[in-house]
Amino acid sequence: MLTIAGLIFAIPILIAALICGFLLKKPHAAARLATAGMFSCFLMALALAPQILDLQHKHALPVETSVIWIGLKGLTIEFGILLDGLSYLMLLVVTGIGTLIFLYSMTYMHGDESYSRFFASLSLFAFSMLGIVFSNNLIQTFIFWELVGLSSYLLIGFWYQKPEASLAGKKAFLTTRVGDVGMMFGILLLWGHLAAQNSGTFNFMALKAHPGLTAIPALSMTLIGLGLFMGAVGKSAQVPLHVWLPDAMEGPTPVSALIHAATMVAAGVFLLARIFFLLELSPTTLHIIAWTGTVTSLLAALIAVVQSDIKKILAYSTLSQLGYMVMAIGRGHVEAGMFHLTTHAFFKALLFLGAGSFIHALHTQSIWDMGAYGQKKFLALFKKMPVTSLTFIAGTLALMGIPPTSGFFSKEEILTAAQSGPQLMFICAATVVFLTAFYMGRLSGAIFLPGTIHTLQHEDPHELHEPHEPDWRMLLPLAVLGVLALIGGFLPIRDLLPEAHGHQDGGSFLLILSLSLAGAGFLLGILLFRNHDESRVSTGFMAVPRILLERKFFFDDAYDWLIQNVQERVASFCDLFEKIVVVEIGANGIARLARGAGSTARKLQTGVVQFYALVFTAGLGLLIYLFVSGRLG
Amino acid sequence: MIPATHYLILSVTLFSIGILGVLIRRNILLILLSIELMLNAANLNLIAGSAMHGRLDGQLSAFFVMVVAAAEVTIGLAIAVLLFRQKNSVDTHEIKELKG
Amino acid sequence: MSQALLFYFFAAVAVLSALGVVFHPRPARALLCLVVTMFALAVHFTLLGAYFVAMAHLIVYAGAVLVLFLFVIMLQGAGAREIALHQRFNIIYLLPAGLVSILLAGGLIALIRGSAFQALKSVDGTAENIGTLLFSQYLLPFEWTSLLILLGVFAAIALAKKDAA
Repeated sequence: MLTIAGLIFAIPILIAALICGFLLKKPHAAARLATAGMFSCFLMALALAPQILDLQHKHALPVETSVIWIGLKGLTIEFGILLDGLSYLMLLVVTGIGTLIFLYSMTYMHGDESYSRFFASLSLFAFSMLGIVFSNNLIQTFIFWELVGLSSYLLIGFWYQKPEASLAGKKAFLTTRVGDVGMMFGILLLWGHLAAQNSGTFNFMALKAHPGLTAIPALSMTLIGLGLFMGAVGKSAQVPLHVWLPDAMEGPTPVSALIHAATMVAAGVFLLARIFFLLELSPTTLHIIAWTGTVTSLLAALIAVVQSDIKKILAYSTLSQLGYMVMAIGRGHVEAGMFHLTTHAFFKALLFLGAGSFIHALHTQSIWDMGAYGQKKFLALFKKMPVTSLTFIAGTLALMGIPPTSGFFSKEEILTAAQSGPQLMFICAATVVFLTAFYMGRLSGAIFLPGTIHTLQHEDPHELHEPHEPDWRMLLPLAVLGVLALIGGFLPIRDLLPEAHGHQDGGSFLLILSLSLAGAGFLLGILLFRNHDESRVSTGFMAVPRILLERKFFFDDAYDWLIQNVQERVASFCDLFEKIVVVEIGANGIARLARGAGSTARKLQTGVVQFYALVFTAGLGLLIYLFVSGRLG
Repeated sequence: MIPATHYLILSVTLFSIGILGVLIRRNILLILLSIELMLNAANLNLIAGSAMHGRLDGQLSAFFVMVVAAAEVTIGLAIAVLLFRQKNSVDTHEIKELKG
Repeated sequence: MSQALLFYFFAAVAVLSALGVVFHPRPARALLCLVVTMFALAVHFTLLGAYFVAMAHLIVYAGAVLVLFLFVIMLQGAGAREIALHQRFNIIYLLPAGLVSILLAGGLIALIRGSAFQALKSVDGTAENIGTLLFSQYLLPFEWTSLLILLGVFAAIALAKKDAA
């Protein structure tokens, strides 16, 4: 079983290496190889299912294997594979959705000049993600954490000729890096405390059973939890490090689907679930985590309401849903968070791929421009692209949590988790349900219903391109994900997760509340925006908050101000310090000293051999005198 | 018998005179001659040592030193001849290629 | 007693002629001074019982090496000419070099006087004894010397060849 896991682990990196080594000039072979490799990984992962479920029932999980990578006295760093329900679930999500998106990309990225590079980067991403999933210790997690950041950077900035794309890549890389500093801090603090008890370890299982954990002071435990959480904040784009995710939509749409909706951003949630036994030890940490998630989900949902770029809307929606998962974990409902992670991976990947299909066909990302196509005729787009539209609507329903879609089940669990928290938290969570339905209603209304106002930003682009359905390689993933989004709730996902709180029904109160909120939001969204008329709304009841929302709560502006006024000054001071002290006094000073000493000393080299002999003899004489005076006293 | 100390002092004196020659003479041939003087001072030392220990090994060492000196002289002189041919001088002050 | 007389006399001769080597203005005569030193040293060798070494010394040095030197000095054509003081010596080195040499000698002499040595014994360094030793115990080094001299010959030829330069 572990051998197969190892094989799954190795295939993507082998493929990435193969593509980089041999297939850069043969894009189609590269694409087929990568897709086939991913698919084989998925099949192997699937083949493990009976064994895993069996072991899960026998409570024989986790199984673990590792080699010692760095073995010093008192410091052992392993490199290993840990398989339990949690990592198996993530494994299925990564390889399964990965396969679909690889397949989708074969058409979507067709004709791109860097086709091979795209698949190499995707494979590298899959490898890094599997590294996190399989990791059995914090250091390995951290290493692959960084690798995931790197491959995300490569893929966001994939179209590096576009300045926004390369800027977005940089922004994502640097922002997540801020979180990673905290994560490193948390790891080191934890290890330091345990090492002080002479039993430092990074291994998850060893940590879980570690008797020394309780001996760590409460404040340190909180700091450790918050440090590790910071890593998750960066990767899962929680407030205040969320600013990179919407910009990351500059990357190709399949990347947005795979990395920035389904898997990578979920890594933060996965990490929180993995180290929950550490977070649990400090109620303060859990409290902060829960509130961070709540605030993120609310803010992001609010911002999503005013976006007009389809991918940006979905990106903010992702933020909002990630906030949900983090909140659930903060409330101690790990299984709810992980369950929502899985279903969210289905429907959000679906929505992104659907959006990609629309973009592919209509050559625009603005929902108003998309809607402009169906200006005259009712449901024109729907008729032209039935599969994409149907699956998109399925994804929308799942996102809103309409029964019996997958989103319904997981959202119920999330709301149950929120209900167990403070009143305010539950109100926020319920508001998000409404807002989610509202912006999805707005989106659907704009795309599918005919409008009255022509808001095309450029000259009718669709006169040149009659929209049509893409080929099967894009449709198949849509169909598969559509089915999963609808029925995912009935899959045995929860069997894989720890039953921390036992599965409880939300009760009819929750069901009615969420359904009515979602229905109201959706209808309101469709009604308000069915004519593609934003002006009515912006001059109306939402005029003031609108500025706040369009400026995204001024997070980016605040960061810009901080960077300009604080970081720039610190940097220019450091620059000055570096120029004067390090370069002039340090480097150049030493060089000047050496040069001066050299030019002085070379005057000793008279070239007359006898002078050398004289010095030599004088030295010899001196030695003899020392010897004589020593010997004779 | 003459005490060993006397021979040693004689040897040291000759050796120092040899060094003096090496240090102050400008003609490279005379520097070579001074080196020969130093070698022979060392030989005297060896033979005195041989007599002190009542063994012949020191004398044999002196013999070998002589052989080495002969080889050294041939090469030294060849170099001197070459130098004279190239620089038309055997004055050490004319030969300053090592000057920094 | 006569031995002591011989020693001191020839010691004086050796030192004086050695000084001549260093200070004589004419290179050829400086060379001849060295011949005198060699003779004096040969006497000392004889006094110490190294008869064979003394003879070899005379033949090799006075007979071969110094004659070779003489040739080269005469080849330069300046051998017999008197060299002016400033060309003879490194004038600026005269004082420090003298000082250093005297200090070196002084240090070594102090070392010698401060140490105790055994009295000299009489050894019999006849050709027979030396030969026996040379061809038994010291055979290998002896053969090595022949190789060394051969190499010296090669080197001298290679260096002195006209077109090689």
